[in-house]
Amino acid sequence: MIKHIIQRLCSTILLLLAVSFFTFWLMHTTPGNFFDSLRLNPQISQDTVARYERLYHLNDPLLVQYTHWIINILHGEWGYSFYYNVPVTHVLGSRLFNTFILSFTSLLLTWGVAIPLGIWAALRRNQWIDRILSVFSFATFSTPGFFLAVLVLYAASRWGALPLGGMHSPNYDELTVVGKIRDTALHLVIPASVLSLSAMASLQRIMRGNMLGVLRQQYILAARAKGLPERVVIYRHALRNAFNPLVTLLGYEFAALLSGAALIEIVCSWPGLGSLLLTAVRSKDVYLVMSSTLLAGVLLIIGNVLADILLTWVDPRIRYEKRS
Amino acid sequence: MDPLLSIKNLTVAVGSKAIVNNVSFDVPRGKIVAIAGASGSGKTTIGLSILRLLPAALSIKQGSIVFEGQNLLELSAEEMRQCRGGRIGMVFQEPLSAFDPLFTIGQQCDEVLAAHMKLSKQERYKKVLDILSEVELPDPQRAYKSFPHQLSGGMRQRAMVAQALVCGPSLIIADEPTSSLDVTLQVKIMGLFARLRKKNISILLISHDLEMISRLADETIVLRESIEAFQ
Amino acid sequence: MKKEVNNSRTHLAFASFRRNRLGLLCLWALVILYGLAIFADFISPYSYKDEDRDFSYCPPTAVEFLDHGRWVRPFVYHRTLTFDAVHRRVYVKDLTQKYPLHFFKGGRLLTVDAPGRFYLWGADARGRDLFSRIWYGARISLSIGLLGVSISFILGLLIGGIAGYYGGWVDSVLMRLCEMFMMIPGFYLMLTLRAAVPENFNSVQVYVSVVVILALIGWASLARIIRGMALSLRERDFVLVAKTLGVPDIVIIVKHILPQTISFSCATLMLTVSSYILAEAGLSVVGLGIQDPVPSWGNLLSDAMGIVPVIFAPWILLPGLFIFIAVMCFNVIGDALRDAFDPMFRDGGVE
Repeated sequence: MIKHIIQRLCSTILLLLAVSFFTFWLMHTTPGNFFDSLRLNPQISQDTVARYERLYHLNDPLLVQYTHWIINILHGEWGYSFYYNVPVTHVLGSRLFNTFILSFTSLLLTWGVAIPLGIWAALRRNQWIDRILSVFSFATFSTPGFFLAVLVLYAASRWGALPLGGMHSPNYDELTVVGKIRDTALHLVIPASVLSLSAMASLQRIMRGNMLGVLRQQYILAARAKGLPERVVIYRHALRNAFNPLVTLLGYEFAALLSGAALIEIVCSWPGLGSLLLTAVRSKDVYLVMSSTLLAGVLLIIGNVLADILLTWVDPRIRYEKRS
Repeated sequence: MDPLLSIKNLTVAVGSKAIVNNVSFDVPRGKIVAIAGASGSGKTTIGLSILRLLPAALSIKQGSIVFEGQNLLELSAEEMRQCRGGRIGMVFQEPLSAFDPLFTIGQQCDEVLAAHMKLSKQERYKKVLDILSEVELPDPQRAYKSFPHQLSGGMRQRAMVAQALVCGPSLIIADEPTSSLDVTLQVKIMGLFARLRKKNISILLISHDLEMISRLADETIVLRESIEAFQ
Repeated sequence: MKKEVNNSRTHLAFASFRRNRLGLLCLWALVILYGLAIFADFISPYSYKDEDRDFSYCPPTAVEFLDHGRWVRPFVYHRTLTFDAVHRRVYVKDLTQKYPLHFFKGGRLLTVDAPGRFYLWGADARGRDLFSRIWYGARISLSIGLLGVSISFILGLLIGGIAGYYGGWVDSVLMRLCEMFMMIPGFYLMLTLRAAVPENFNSVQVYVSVVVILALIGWASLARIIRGMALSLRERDFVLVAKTLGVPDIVIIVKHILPQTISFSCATLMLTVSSYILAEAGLSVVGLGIQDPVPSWGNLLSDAMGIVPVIFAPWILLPGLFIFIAVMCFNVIGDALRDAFDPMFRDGGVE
């Protein structure tokens, strides 16, 4: 199992390098040297510009530049954000954390709701609840996330109970620790639920499908033939077998979440990595763009590796590959 | 002496098409009764009917299944559940698909005990180990901790017999127990069944292997096109 | 002989699809949408650029059929802008000025003479007719998805087909390439690619760039699916026969393997189109896709992103409904095709 993980890590690091090079190359093929416009910007001192020119070897071939960029990154030097006028690392850290909170909460919400609903739909196959869930899943799956966010925000503005965007209330700094957590949680409700809604739809369908497939298996019949209570048959045997394959999905879920979160962040003014990237792209803030994309890739990889580990732990067929 | 199991006029149908047509036979105590016939002749259906685990499309149109003096068809769902595994055990054809791949053999035997008897965890553990060695698994403790895919085919089949025996049933329904095994293993399982018979456990053997039936069975019922041809 | 086998399986699948009423309904809905988009010039009263700031956020103008109790030719009343006590916009019907509806005048289905304005579904911030902009926008939003998928599909076919057919290190390298693209979350990849597009592109160039960007985010998963199919197909007898007959590899790939993959990838293609329509909308709504004044359903919604306009002009949410309908239809068709190609589902039992 350890060997498997190390193999995965190695190949993903290679991939990450490839991704970063691709992003790097892309940024630098944009017509117009970014630094030209910087030199003309009176707000940025010539020293800063010169320093970064030296640091990034801007006059050297692309591959050399890239190598230096990677080395710098490993040393913690992620570049300078010309829009925010601070080193990139200052901006990335908190934004990363915010995106993480949003994505993680959505993940919990999605799985916490979709799995039980999927089981319920499978046990009540083709009855009215199954059909309603089916239609509902399809509808949310087809709605653009940002549109849903707007609708929800509109409804919330009428209702007045939830804050409409952002992450903290104006008086955040004056709140107690508990108050701060509560405040953030309230702000999290709308973006997290919108984000979860469409993910829930497909997951619920998959869980339902898995459950139906498992219930047809021989070992379910055997379990009943053993005289196990129906409750044990469903929730101990059927559920675990239906759920296991979904663990592989966790990795992809994470990717989809990160991606979907970006747009929702923008609509709900949630200060995360996605809205950061948007600002960076709009202002052509090169190093910020590259760093954000790289970070997103890293997050994804970590998510996938964790999902992989989880799967090997949870499925004994993979864990114990040798037969005695 | 009354037979352990007595089936009379059993008819099972899908819609209007009969899968099992007016079948009657008895299974005495401590005897092996075989049901033979071609595939699709309704053998497995009889076995499932006794346990009342027929798929939704099939239904029992008429007949009675009297086990230890009770008509199983008249029992409540809960009473039937207690009967399954507790008083009647079932052995399936393909042990790899009949075991839950995510739980150990020991866990799956243990849960049968837990569902039918009030024993402590220690007592259950001991009982499972006993039954695992009784079916002649070489290393019962290792088998207990093993997952189904970690055992060889022959050991898996024996584990399945163990699982069916653990609560001390008086009847075992064996549905094609050896068709997935090679000849040497078949002989071993047959030997196991013979030993069970000596312990006064009846076996309803469902098989298309006429040679095995001729060696083992005390009585044979042959089904031809879902109708009982002769006993 | 082999061709007949292929066709019969495909025929079976499409016949099954024809029996799926919901799928057919959605197919017709899409045909209507695309048809109306193509004829946007005709059905729209105005061009997409036609603005009149005096009518900013004007509500939908009702068509009147009765004048003093008599049936007359349909007309609209003029609207004048006033402000109420809290300085909100209110449009009041001016009963003195009537503008009759013209049919088929100037190459358009319905128009009114200036300075009257006919807003079937209301106006946006600059007084542009939402109805017209939605149908002109349909041209962009609906075509971008199709074009993007075509490019993705060609890329996927080539790379997936070659990878699956040759196997070995070619397969490994190409699949690593795919994984690389799949590793970056879609929206991030879109934004990064968009950042590489020069700022001074005109609207046509922006359109092409968006098509290319969309194609690049989705080709990788298509390639993987096709590679899987190619892998299993190359072991089939008809491929071996062709090889022994000395048919060159590329001909085998193009003539024998690809046609089969196309029929099975139909379902995936439909679902990809729907995801591209959503992606374009997402890109445009934050201002990075199709640029104003050219409308796309996405950028029509960017007004609505600040919640305030929605409160007093809820009709600006209409483009969202259209996105929903288009995406839903593609999804339903994709699902139906997938069920139609699945033998177990199709024949109602085990094959």
